[in-house]
Amino acid sequence: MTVPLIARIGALVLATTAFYGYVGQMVPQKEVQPPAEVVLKSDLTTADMVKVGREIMEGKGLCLTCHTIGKSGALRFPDLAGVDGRAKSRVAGLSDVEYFAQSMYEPWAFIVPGFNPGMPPINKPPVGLTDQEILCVIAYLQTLGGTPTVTLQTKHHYNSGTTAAPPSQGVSPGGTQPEAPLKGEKR
Amino acid sequence: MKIPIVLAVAVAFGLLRFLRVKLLIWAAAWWIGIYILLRFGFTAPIPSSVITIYMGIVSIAILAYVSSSQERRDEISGPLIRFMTEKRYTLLLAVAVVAIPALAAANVYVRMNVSIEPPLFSRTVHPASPADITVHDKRIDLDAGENPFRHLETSNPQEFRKHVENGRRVYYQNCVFCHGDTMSANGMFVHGLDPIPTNFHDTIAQLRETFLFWRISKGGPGLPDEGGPWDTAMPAWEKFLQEDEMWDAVLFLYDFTGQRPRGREEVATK
Amino acid sequence: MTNGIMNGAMNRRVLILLGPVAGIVMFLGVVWMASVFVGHNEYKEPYRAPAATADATPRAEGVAAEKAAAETKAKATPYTEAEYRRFPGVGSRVAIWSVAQLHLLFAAFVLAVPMFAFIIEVIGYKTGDERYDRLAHEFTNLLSVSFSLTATFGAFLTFMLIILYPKFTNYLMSVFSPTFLPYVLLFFFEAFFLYTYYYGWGKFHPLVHLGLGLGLNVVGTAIMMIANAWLTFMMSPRGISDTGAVLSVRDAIFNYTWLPINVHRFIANIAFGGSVAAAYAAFKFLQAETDEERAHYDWMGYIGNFVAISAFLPLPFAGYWLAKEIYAFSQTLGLTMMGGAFSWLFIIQAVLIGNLFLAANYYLWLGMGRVEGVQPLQKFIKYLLIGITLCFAVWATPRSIIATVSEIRAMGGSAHPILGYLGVMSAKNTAVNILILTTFMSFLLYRRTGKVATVAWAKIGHAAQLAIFATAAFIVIFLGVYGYFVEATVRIRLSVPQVSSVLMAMVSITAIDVFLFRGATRTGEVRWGRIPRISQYVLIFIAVTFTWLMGLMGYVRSGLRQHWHVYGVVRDTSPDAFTPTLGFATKVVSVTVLEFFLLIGVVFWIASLHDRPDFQRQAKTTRRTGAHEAELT
Repeated sequence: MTVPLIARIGALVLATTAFYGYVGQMVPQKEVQPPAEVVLKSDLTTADMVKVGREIMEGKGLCLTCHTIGKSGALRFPDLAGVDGRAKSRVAGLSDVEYFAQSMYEPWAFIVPGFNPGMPPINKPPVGLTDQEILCVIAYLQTLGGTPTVTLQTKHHYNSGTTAAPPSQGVSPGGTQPEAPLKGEKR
Repeated sequence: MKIPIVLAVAVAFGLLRFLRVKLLIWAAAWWIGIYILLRFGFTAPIPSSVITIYMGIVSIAILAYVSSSQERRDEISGPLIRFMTEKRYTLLLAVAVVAIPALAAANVYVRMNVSIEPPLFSRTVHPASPADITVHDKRIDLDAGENPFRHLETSNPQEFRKHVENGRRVYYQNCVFCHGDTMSANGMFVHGLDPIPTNFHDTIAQLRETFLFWRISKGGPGLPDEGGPWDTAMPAWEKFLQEDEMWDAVLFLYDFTGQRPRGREEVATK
Repeated sequence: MTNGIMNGAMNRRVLILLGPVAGIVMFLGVVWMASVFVGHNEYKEPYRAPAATADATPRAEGVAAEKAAAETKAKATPYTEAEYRRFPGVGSRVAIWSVAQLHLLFAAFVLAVPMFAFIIEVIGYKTGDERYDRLAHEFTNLLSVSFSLTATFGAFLTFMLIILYPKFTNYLMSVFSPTFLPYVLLFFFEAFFLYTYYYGWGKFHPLVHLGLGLGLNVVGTAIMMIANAWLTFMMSPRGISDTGAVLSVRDAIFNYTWLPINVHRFIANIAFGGSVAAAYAAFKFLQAETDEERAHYDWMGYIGNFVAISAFLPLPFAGYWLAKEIYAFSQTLGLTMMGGAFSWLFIIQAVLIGNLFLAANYYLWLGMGRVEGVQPLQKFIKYLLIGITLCFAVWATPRSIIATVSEIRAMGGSAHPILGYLGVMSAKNTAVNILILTTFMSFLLYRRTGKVATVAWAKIGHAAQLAIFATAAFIVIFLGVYGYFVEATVRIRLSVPQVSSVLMAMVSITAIDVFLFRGATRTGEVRWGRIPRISQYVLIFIAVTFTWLMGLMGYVRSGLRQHWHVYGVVRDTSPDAFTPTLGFATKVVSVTVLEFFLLIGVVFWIASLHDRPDFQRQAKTTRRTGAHEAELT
């Protein structure tokens, strides 16, 4: 007896779908969690800020999706290795802190020669870092080719109005809640 | 590419052509030939995940070819049907019936029987250097600095050779155990190291001399975060060597491998 | 199949028995797959006896106390507006995902079929060839049931949105409030045109009927464009303030990705509809009992597949435009798509599209069997196949390779010295352009089976075609290689000359071909229906692959927003805000595709219930019904 047509077609449909489903299982499986809301302590030391800044750059800030640290060749976005040395002198009249702040609050105000404008304002959604978080990122950026000087009280052009740091509650010394998956991935 | 393997496959194909074999054998030959080329034909072996993708595509393509016309289908199915129906093949058929699931089982066994490997961390092999470092209480500018003896190459070749020879001495007294006689990362301690030491033939032409100096003087402990996880065994040589000795060793590395250091870029205008 | 004809009656009885059984088995299989796939996603509250009842209290009392406590608690709770509600079992996201995808698949089908039915009807009207008219009518057979299914799923989707995501749905409706009434109105028109077009077949003057078809298409496209405004707004919002207040509905509609999505969907719908219609023809072909039927359905499948592949060829270009607009709207969004969490999805996509190209070419090669005297052309197949396989392999080469530690050590670094070059965009653009060129060549080869050009300049013509083809291939490959040596800003722009040279080649070669084969002598007739049965399974395979591809790309378009309902404005705070693994996503897509094919099977079945107005067919149907009756008595 021959296999009925409908069963053959059903088997073909099932096999094809199963095959593609199988291909889907073969690729790396990564679940991306939404960025956790993290409260920063107001008395972070500069050294702590560097650590937090690095974590923000990898996670919530999405910086390292585009920027590289220590890579050369045909890049789409400026490499950040040793960036502090360049930041001090790149725009006349701007200190490195001011320059970093400008490139995050108003990224299109100055475009590094040879690159296309493409960076969104970091203090607005979808990234939406707070002023404190941006200060932490600046602290980390300063360690690339320099020494960090900023504290959470540092004033620059873009945060001159606000001083109040968010309340510190239930925060670990690193400034982040320990269970918060900042990198936002798990296997 | 590994020439002998490529040649062997080409010769085998020539032989098949000469023998005028049937389509079924051709199909098998193509599959096996491509597999051998992918698996063994490259000097830098292709990871098995990619080979699986490629062989999947090749399998589909071969199936498509052999079934794309009535003649080819007959040519393929004829021998198979004869094999399955004719009396004289009964024994072989029985063997095949047993062998196919056995092969599948063997495959499962091989796949399950992998050796234990450490988890994989992605690390940047050449992380960015800091702008300056301090060695023996002396500040060394890595961005703008130069090898203090490099200029001798043109101005005073004799003196330059002396520095290179000194570098050779430093290398063979300290570095050779890991980086090897020929500087291709094949020293006697290599089997115990992960990551393996740098192969100087490959990479140093892309690097500046100050970068080498930084890596030699600060070693594994001086690696920044993105160079981590910190598990390279490179010692911080500033604790054992003079500054000049390290610069000489750098000269010797370029001299021995015949590479030129990367020139200084206009960092400020980048 | 002589056996089949002899035992026709016997087989039919078996079929009648087995058909429903197979259907039920498939259904159970799908349910089982679904439960296995999503089972471990389900959150199960571990059972714990409440502390109050855990001691020696008699069971009945404990249960009563629990019930009373729950009641008082329910009374005490004030009414609050829910932000999210949970769908039992699979969770809200999977539920809405599946329903939206099914709605979309049927909608795509309902929009696409009138398009090519209309075009085929125009051809039939122009040439006066009755066959085309009948073919167009047969395509529309599938429409009315699909239309009601689309509407049903649309209503289902709306209810699910309101139930599961009340707050967000409310927001979306408030932003787009002016668009909903026109949408409903258009739906009325759509129904009017569809039913008059279908039931009025042959009842009006052909031009009036064509007018109805045109109206149907215009209204259908308008409906799609309105719905696209809602979903593209979620992806690339415009016309609202940072906090989400509406500034301009006009801007919200004409957002960044609206137009590219319209174009992309328009083309993709045609490709998808064509492939499903071809699958229908394949199904009928396999069922057919006479040679005329087989010839007819072979031809119908060929046309359906032709429509699908012709629409499919420009699709990658529309896709590039869409991707470009996404980058223009937000680099972050673009990089999430191509470099971040979704980069591996595009390897899966490459596998699917590679399979599509391979299967489409394969179908054409099989189709050469319809024509006498194709032996000289058969030998080209080998080279076309090698080209396709190479391009497929390049396209499926991942950018970041999965390798074990020992493999990485053997490679000398996490980037392979050779494969590293194949994983980047330059290589992939080149591969897809060459794939398109090769498929085009297959078409051309198929076109000229059984024909010999007789014009005086035949030799020059062939040489010119070959030269154009070689030039286009050379330009594409040259630019692809050149891309490795230039800055990124230049490299991105290289894809434009690549694409345009391929398009130019396709247009000019076709133009030459048309004149070259004017008045060509035929060495063999095209004998429709003389094609191996396996080719029909290929058509079904193509349809499944297309459907799966749509499911996958629908996922990436929607999943791209990650933890945002409206990207950058309205945050998703539901438990489903995370981005699932690709493995999970592909499972959901697989189950949805199976559900779609179960339903489309029902559509095919209902379509086969129709009495056909054609007199000749009437006779045949009566005969068949007679056979059925004979069996039943």
